[in-house]
Amino acid sequence: MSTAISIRDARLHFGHTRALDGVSLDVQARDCFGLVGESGSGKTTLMRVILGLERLQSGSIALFDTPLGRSIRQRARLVQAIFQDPAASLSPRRRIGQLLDEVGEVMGETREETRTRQRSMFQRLGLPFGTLDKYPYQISGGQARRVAVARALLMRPRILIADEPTAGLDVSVQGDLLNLLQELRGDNDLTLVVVSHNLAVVRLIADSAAVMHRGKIVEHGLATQVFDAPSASYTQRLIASWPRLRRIAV
Amino acid sequence: MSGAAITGLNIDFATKAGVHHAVRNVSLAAGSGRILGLVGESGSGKSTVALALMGLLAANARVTSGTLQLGIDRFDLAQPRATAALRGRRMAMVFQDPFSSLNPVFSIRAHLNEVLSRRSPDVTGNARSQTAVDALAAVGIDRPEVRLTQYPHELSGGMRQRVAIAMALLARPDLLIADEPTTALDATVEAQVMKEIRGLRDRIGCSILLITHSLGLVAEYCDDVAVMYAGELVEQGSVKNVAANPGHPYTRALLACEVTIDAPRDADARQSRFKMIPGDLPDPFNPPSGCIYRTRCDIAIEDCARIVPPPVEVGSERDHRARCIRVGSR
Amino acid sequence: MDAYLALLRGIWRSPTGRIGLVLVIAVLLFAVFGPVFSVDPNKLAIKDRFQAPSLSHLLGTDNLGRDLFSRTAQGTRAALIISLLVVAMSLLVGAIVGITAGMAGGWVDRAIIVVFDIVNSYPAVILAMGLVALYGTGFGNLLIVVTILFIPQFGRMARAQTLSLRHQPFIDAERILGLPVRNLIWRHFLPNVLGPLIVLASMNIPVVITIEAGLSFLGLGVQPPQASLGSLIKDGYTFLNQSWWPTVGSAVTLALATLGSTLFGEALRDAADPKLKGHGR
Repeated sequence: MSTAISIRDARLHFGHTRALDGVSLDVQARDCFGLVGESGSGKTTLMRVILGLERLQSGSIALFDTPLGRSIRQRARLVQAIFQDPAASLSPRRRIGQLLDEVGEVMGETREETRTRQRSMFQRLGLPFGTLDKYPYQISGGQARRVAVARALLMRPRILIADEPTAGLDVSVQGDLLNLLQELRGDNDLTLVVVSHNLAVVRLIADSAAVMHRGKIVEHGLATQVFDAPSASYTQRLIASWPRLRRIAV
Repeated sequence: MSGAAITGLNIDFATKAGVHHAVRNVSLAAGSGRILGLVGESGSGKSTVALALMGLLAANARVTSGTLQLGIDRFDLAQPRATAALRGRRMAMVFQDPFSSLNPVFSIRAHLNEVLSRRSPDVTGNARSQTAVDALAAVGIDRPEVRLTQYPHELSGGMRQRVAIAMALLARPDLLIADEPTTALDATVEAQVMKEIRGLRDRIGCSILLITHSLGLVAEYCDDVAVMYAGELVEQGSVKNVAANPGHPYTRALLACEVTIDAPRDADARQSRFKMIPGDLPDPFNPPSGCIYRTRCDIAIEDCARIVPPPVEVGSERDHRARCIRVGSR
Repeated sequence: MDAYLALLRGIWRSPTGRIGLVLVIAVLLFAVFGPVFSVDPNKLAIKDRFQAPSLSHLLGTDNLGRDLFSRTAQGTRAALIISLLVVAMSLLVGAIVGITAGMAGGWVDRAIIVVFDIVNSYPAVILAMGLVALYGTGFGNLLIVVTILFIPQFGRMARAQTLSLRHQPFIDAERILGLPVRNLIWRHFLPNVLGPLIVLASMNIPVVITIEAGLSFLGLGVQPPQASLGSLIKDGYTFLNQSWWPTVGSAVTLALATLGSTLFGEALRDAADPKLKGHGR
């Protein structure tokens, strides 16, 4: 079992704020890893650093035992992400088809190959082919979400990061995306990282998890242990404040 | 204080595509000294109801009918500026975005003074300052004397909400409307702010209308619950009764979809599956005949398309009503 | 393509936009075809001076007997050429400098802003007068001078757009694809930065027209015997006692050109707005 992501003593300051204050963790390949924390905890920064959108000031990150340099291109084949606001993650002045063709460009495929893969991906995700000709503002939020997933998967990454997948979603529809993520794990040889403040969802979907607070990891381990038997007092407080449904006598 | 009741509220929006009947015949009762959770998802119309009560609807919205009963007084909500005189006095509001309640160019003291001068104009000087300090302390704000001199941007989101609650405390309203007050806050802060809101209820015995999309929040902090779907009220009752015995299929489905922190979990996370409600919200300009929920309902029958369901008592629980002709069936 | 058509439709929908579009087209036609259908604008015919409009001289003649229709058309042509060139050049330079400031940050950014502020702090016409006094009149100099006046506006907007776009999710999404930087800039960054700049450009055209007219009125702009709306107004004004036709023709044309392009520019801005935000619905 190899290590998909290996982070050692990551540090990053933004002025006075210590966004990452000596973070070390390992994500096992083919695991679903939950990275939870409140706002300002550093989980989003850590995600951005893994994706190459921010640079560490000290410490190291290795993906599948390959230490990463500055090159994002190297990373792009290993890790992709679906962002919190999927509609905003699609370039507004280009058609969906053009955006997805860029994947083929980056992977050095012919137009034919890309088009074929696009169509089968759309079919799998339940997106009508006509979406390829539309602009991002012409499709619904749910479709934009699926387009973002399609784009990420077309890159054939080994690691997929989902940034707050349930944020802004009604409870009655979030199941759709969550079940899709579960399906993706099953089919592909994929390592999934879910960055979220939604403890209840992460608890169900993750194999292992880490809790961040003020740039540090305060707890990590198997999900069952982190959420059901937390040792850190911060984690305990966090879980205790989560509203419970079944307090009422049934 | 003897509670707030809304009867027969109807709100229309004029849009380019036609008239959207955003809220249809909604009647709610928030008992005195009780918190009513108005829960619904996107498109349910719950925020529209709150905005209508405060008179803050957009320009293209119109209340076509509806009354608000506050204690023994009745207000016709279809009249423009119907509730203007109540704002800040008998009705107070806490918004989702804490900056909406607080003016960034005024100090916290100025905010509290504004409420105090309206509510108790005869209290001035030191007595007024002390009242302000006490109000801040009462909502759990540390070093209240220092906070009075600060400005909204110097406070965290959670603290700003507490100031808004303190302002409500000072106004001693009959009705507090809290529109998604904790949605923008972290879980730990949310718990603290909700505690303060509950404290408000205990301290001054007002009615509280809590608008939220989170059933968990309602279950944890509210006394009564009203469920809205696509502009209509589908179920109402005490939290205890509704959670234990949901009468409406939507409420039941919503409860099933809600992911709780203590949900049963398979040892292998890959086995976790999440429930959802298939289908989409009805077209706002072309709603289905009969029951508004029937296109997504798992127990819909032919009659559901013919009959607009009236409220039906659920179980033998008084005040627990659901608008479904098949209450009791699964 | 359909995005542009949608913009035109949006402009047509607004009543003032419609007026603006009609005026702009009318002025354009006048400037392009006017000189073709008239006599030599520089032909002197002193004995025919100060004539009222007639069939041979649609707008009458000026103090030297020159046909006013053709002179006004020529002046309009000059005004439009100058305004389009100035706006295009200041947009280009402003965009480059502004984007650089936004991307580089730090002292480079601060230095650029200071330069912008210095240029902006001078009243436009005074600065123009000063530069012309230093470097002399002439078409080329005029263009450079007026362009300098407008660079800071475009620069600031380009910088603001750059700062806000840098952290947009879609830029992040394109970056993590591993797209080469030049493609990122050319396909995703520039179009979104330039959009608002083009709207600003259309709103600046009437301003440039007015400044050019003002400078020419003062004798610092387009030099005689070349006609300019501003110099026509000045000549007319000098001989106002003898004939008010010269003034009227050029003044009305100047007013219509300015009004038309202003209304058009505003309608364009309003039509482009929702698209700019990316949420066309």
